[in-house]
Amino acid sequence: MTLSGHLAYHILLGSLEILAIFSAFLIVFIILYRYFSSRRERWFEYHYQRITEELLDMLTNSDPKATENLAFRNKNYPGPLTHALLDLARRIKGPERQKLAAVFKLALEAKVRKDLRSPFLLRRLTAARLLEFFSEPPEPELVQRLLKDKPPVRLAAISALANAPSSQTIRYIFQALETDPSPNYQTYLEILFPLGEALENELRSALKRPLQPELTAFYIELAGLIPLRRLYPDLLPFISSENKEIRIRAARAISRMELPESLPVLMKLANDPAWEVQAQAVLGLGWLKNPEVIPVLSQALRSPHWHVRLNAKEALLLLGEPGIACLKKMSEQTEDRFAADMAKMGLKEYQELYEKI
Amino acid sequence: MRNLLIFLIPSSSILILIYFLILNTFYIFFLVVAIGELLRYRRLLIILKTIEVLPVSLVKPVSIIAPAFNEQNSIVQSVSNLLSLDYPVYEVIVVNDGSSDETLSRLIEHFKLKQSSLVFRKSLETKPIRAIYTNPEYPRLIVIDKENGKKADALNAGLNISRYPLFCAVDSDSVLDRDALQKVVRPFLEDPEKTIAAGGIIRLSNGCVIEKGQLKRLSIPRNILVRFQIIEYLRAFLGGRVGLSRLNSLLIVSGAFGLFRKDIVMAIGGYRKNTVGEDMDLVVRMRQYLHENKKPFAVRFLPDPICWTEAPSNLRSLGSQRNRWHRGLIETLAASRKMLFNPRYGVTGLLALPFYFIFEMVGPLVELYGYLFFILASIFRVINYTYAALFFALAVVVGAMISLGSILLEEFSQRRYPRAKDILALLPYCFLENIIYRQYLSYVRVKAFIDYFKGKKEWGKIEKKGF
Repeated sequence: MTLSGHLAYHILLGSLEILAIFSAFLIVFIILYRYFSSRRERWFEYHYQRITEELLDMLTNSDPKATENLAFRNKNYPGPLTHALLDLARRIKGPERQKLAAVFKLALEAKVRKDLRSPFLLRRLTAARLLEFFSEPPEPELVQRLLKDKPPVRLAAISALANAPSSQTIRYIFQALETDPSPNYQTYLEILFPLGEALENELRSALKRPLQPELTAFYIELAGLIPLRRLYPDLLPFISSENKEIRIRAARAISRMELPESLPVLMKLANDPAWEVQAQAVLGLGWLKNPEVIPVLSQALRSPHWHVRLNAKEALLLLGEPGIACLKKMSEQTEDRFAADMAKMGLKEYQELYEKI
Repeated sequence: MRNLLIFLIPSSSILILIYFLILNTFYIFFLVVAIGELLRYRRLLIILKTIEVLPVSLVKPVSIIAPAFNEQNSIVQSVSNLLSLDYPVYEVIVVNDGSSDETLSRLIEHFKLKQSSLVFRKSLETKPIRAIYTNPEYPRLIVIDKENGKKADALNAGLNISRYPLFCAVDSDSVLDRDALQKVVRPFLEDPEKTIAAGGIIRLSNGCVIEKGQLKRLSIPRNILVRFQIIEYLRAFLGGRVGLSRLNSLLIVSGAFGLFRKDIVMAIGGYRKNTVGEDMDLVVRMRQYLHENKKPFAVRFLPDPICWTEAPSNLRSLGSQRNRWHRGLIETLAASRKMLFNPRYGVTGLLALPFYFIFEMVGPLVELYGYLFFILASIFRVINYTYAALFFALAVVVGAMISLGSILLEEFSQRRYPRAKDILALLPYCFLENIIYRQYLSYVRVKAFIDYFKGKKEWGKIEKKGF
């Protein structure tokens, strides 16, 4: 065997040995990992159930010592105690939550305040959740710090702020959204939407502020989704915006408000140059249930855009008898085959619904 | 001949060794990336759970399109499963692609469907539609009956009817986890502009108990062939696809369960017909379109939305399936050859396509060349058996190590097998699959080259028991 052959042989053999040892190590690791993680899960589940039951007993117990005893007994189980407290705090409000807050203060607060400076995101996140639940009213300094943290912690803080809505906490949330370098609008929507009418004042002033178009579009969408009808006059300037996305959202928001006075506005939007705006406005006209809109809807049924035709059909169905009459007329005409097909589909839907009733 | 072999031995050995080293370096690299990514993903899930992000009415509506061809055994279960998903706004479009069995009649009978006069926009050309069926009691369900035109044609017909901005292509013999749609849509909510496609993990339902369209009990089947495939799927999805997704180099979103942005798919003309690899072909063409229009994009793989599907349990069906997959790969790479090594197509042209070309497509040829070379060298007695045995052992151990890594990934991420003995049962197969199973698949994939050049377009028959 040559020198190079000898070397290659040893390299192959060495590699094989190393890899075989590593594979054996992997097998052992998989088995041990499964064993210990199952054990830990069982341990966690057992203590979580036990602590939850103890907490529920404590909530119905009038003995003032009960809170103290529970806190000291479970101080050494911070993981299960944290989760049990968070899960109950989500569901319980009022004086009972004060009892949970007392347990938190005695057993966890010192640790949680340390965790707020932890390099581990999850610890900071959990700490933020606990402090926001159990330190009311929110401490401004703490809120400001949390709002400057990484997105998940910031969102957790915002979500927690939304649990205790006041003009101040809502202002914090808007401030966080407007200074967020890459906002996740879906998440903000999920946080803000349940606040409903409490958002009205802040949203009104936000609509007047010069902001990035996507932020303005988000606020318009939110106003329509809730819907905040008193903001209707504040939405009107947006129907003539040069930005198509803003006009689409304005049409959708105004439509959702279902206000009789929006009729001329929606009629105007039904003739907007963008078909997306037309489609929104046409559907909105149907929701108003005013037979005056039939000529506009009949025109929309002849639109070259399928979505506009589809929404015109929907809107005519919403109008009831006069709309059905219009659909019948359109289905019988032969000038526009596409309009006739759409009208036939609408009539079929109506018939099926009628039969079902 | 003997002299030729003696002349070829050094260069061939070095070539195969280099190929082997680069290929496995890639796989190990993907595995390492996947470990980091899965741990990050697991943390993200805990975070999402912690901050209680609740779904509200503004989720993106989804059209589920399920093409069906001769699926009489599983169609009712599958459609029931699709109709019971946990998602606020969606529709289910089942396209009966000219089945010759009772697929359509079973659907009509079970869901009490009636012919409808639904009007739709025929944006994509398809084989003629015979009828559309609906039932107001199942407002989410639309069944299209059309002439047979293969899977891509059926999906295009579904696209014509679909109403929503996202569509989910699903195999009609698969079962989705109840929350799978909710999970797979997340990238489209988080990054709606960039995300163009997202896929979930495909897992094997053999050995599992499925009742009323939902998976009730999970265990490892006794069939050896299916056990090999379980390892293979774990490796391909949790290792390969997580890694490729991290590098934005994913070219395949599985046809069994993938969510796509409809506007982009319509802009490229829908699914290409006359292909047996329509899923990969679609993603590659979407990527090409977006590169050419200089728009940033992302194709994502998510390890937790799960689609359960039945794997072939005999060699003939497995061979047929893998032959088709490889022909699909060759077809797609041949159709997109202008992107290969072309810097204009960014990561797709310089990393994703070369990877699939060199390692996935050509891989079986290199492997077969190695085996043939070994046999010839043995016949002419010009081989060093010690080296050959060492090299083979090394290949088996590296392969097994990568598979073991995939099982570890499963333990880190999903841990869907509740019993430890299921995991223990899989461990020996990590070694065994490198001995006969792997060679059989190489043979099937090499045969796919021959079938491709012969112009074979058939899908091949796969026997399935159904649920």
